[in-house]
Amino acid sequence: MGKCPFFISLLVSILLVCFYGLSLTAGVLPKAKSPADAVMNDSNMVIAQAVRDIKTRVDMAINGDEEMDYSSEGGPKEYVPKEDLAARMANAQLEAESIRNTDEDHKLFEETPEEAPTDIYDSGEEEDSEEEESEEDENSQAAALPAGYIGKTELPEGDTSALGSYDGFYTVEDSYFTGGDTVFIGDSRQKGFGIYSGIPNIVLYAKEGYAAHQAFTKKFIDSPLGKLTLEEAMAAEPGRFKKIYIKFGLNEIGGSAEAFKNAYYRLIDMLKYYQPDAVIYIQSIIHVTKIKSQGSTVFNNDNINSRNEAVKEVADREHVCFLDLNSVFTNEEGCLPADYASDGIHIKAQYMQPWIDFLRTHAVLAPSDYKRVLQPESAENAVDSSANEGDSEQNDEVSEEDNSEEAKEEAQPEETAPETPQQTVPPTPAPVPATQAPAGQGTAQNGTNVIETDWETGGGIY
Amino acid sequence: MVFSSLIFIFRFMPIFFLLYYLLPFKWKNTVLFFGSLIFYAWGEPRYCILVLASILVNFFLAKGIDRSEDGGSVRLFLFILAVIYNIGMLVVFKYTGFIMENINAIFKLNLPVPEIPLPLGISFYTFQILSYIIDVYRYECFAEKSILGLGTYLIMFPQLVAGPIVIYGRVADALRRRRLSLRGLENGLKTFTLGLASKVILANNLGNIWNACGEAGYSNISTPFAWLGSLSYTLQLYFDFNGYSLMAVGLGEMLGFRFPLNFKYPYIARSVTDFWRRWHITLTSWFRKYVYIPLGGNRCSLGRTLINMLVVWLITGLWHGAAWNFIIWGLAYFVILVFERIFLKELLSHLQVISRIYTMLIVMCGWVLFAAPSLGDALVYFSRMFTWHGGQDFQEYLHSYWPLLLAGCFFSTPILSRLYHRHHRSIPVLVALFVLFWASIVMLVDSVYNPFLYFRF
Repeated sequence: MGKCPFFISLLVSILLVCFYGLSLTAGVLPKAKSPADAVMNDSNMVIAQAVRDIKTRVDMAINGDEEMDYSSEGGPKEYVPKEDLAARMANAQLEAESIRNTDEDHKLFEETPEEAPTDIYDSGEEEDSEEEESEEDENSQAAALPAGYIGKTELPEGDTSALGSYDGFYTVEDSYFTGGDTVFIGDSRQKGFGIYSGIPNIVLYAKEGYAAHQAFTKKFIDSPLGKLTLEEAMAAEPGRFKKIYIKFGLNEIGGSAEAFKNAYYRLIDMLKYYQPDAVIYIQSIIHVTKIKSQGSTVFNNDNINSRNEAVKEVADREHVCFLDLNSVFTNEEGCLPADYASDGIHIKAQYMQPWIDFLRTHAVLAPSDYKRVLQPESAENAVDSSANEGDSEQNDEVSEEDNSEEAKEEAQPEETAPETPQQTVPPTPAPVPATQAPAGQGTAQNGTNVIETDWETGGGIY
Repeated sequence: MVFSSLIFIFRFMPIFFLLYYLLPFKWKNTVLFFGSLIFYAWGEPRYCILVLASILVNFFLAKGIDRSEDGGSVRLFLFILAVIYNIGMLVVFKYTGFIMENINAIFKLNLPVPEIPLPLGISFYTFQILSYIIDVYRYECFAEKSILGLGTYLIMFPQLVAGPIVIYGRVADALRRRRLSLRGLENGLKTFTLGLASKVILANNLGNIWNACGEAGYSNISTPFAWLGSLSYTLQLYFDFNGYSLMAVGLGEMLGFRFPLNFKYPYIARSVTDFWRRWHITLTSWFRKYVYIPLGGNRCSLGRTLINMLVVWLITGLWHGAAWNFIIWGLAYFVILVFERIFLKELLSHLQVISRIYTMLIVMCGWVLFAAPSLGDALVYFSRMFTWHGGQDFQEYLHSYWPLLLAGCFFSTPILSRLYHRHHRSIPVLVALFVLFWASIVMLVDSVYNPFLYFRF
């Protein structure tokens, strides 16, 4: 060691790590299974692999994370809850409230930022005409629509948004987002939306570099219990959210599509479990600008388009909404317009309005909304056949997709009950058995089941 | 190739230093020369020719200057030829686009603006070779006898792409004869590790805040966020550039060279004049030695001194980039330095705290002008900084970055450095450096984002 202890210790450690890496690649040692391995493109350097492997092992030793492998299994699966945080969270919130009972610190937007004009939600021309158009048929239905809903939305040409298991897209008022039950989950671009959209009182679980597979491992959400992963945050407040907007895909675009889809399935299954009442919207990956696209072999629009196919497939198989944001954020060249983003990727704050308008015109009726609208008697009296008629027109496209998809899948509820029309697949995920339901959710769970009955019989009204 | 990349640290460095240390001395310059060529060509192989041509042309011109008679017109002619060649290359490859754009704007023409990608490190190596030519002309040093020696001086990889700007006389002896020692290797590696950590741990992460300002669009950010962004860029630039310089100095020491330090805690300066004595020292001293003093410096009338300063700061601004905001940035510093020279200096020397705040305010605004993509963007940014715009956008960043910001402010001061220099051989410091090294490596493995800010120049 003598004259150069630092040099020697560094050299020895590097050699050791190299040796470790070599034995990993040679297969002498087993690799630590990390979600990142399957999704991210690994550097081909032995030492980088070794460092990542060691880091994964250390992470797992500290956090006790389960091993996850996204490379093999695919498709929606039943979510197995990890830990029940709800009670702890409720306690912590009670404590926090008793300390400062006016402050609701964990919500990002308490008041509208000064900048946001009050007429921010004033509908543009597009919506005005929509309202006029739909006014006639709306008159009969208006009473049936829940508060905040303006009317049905006709998808413009080129908009490939898909409904999942829902009956149609509606235009909504700003109150749709501001009830404190709307959460936006995603990467830096979703974060930019959360910060600069000016929509008050939304919950934002978004972070730079956030990828779908990190939903179970990356601790970044502040809470009275400390930093939580997305999974823990959802488990801590089960049933809190009614609308969940998700946007993932660009950060992990260098990895395999299969692993990405599997990570996404797992994420959505988890969300459905903890937030059974929520409508889940999956947003497409927004294109990058032409310059950015041409300058990158990874972050280019060809990759984004093919990855959006994967996003759409996830939405189809999970029966959730797919929102095609590129129908508003793409020019005729298939790229994000150059002046929309200074760095080619992140949308500038002044161009958030198209995004907001898009979400406003692409809302669906949540199961809980049916409960508010429908009288129990009318629900019981509603005839199945009328449900068929009413739905089949609006749902043609969706039911076709559902057909093809469901043909592939194993036993679906429809098969056991053939008299139920296909398009009335419950909008909520398959009811979770009461034994599995998170604590404190028992009553809410029952409520959900009631709503579902309403939905299936009374769907014809819409 | 950049220093803070896995490929440099784990491929280039081990192979290069193994060869460099094992081969006998007469081969060392050859290894260094070709190693540096590979280092340079890694990112931009086609501009290798430009550097090699520069070595060839300047080698023979300097030789000619050295041999021609004192005071003769041949000597002057060769000197002017060399200066024109070097500055000409810099202008062609760095400023053509800018000049064409301005000609188009002034004369309302529509000439095509060529898009010439900037050769890596051209601003730095041009200034180094200019210093060599001028020193030979002024009899301050002899012309290098071996072309390999001059080539090694110019493209030595530690300082090739982003400084420090090493004057030939400083390394002339070392090029011919230098001692390699285990202590040099040890200390150089320590300095390299400090620089690596400064770049990877502090600068890369602090950059996120400034980037977020840009992503949102300057016209949308709140006033606190604008100031936060400006602070984060101020810190980022320092740790980025200082980190790079430290790595260069460390590598130089490992090679047996002693490079000058580039920074002396610039953010504790008590006046802007003081700041520029501490920031990018090798560049400011180059300007002083080769522009300001030959023009007459401050040993002439006040008016003449002011003109000399104006020239220096105009060139300083232009050197940093071919755009109007760099020129304005240079001129703004000129104006402030003139005020300080005339009356502010006295005042500032009495005010311990206010003088530091004043300096930092000016420096932060300066960096906004420096970093904004265009003059218009910079003005928009200033309007967000100096007129009130509310908003919560900063909370998120302040919340997640405050430890890093605090660390940044702390390490901008010399508080820890004295401790380090006194104890740098003690075991706790060694362990800390060891941890810093591997922490940086883990971050490098994790991130794909790793640009050097000063590569734009």
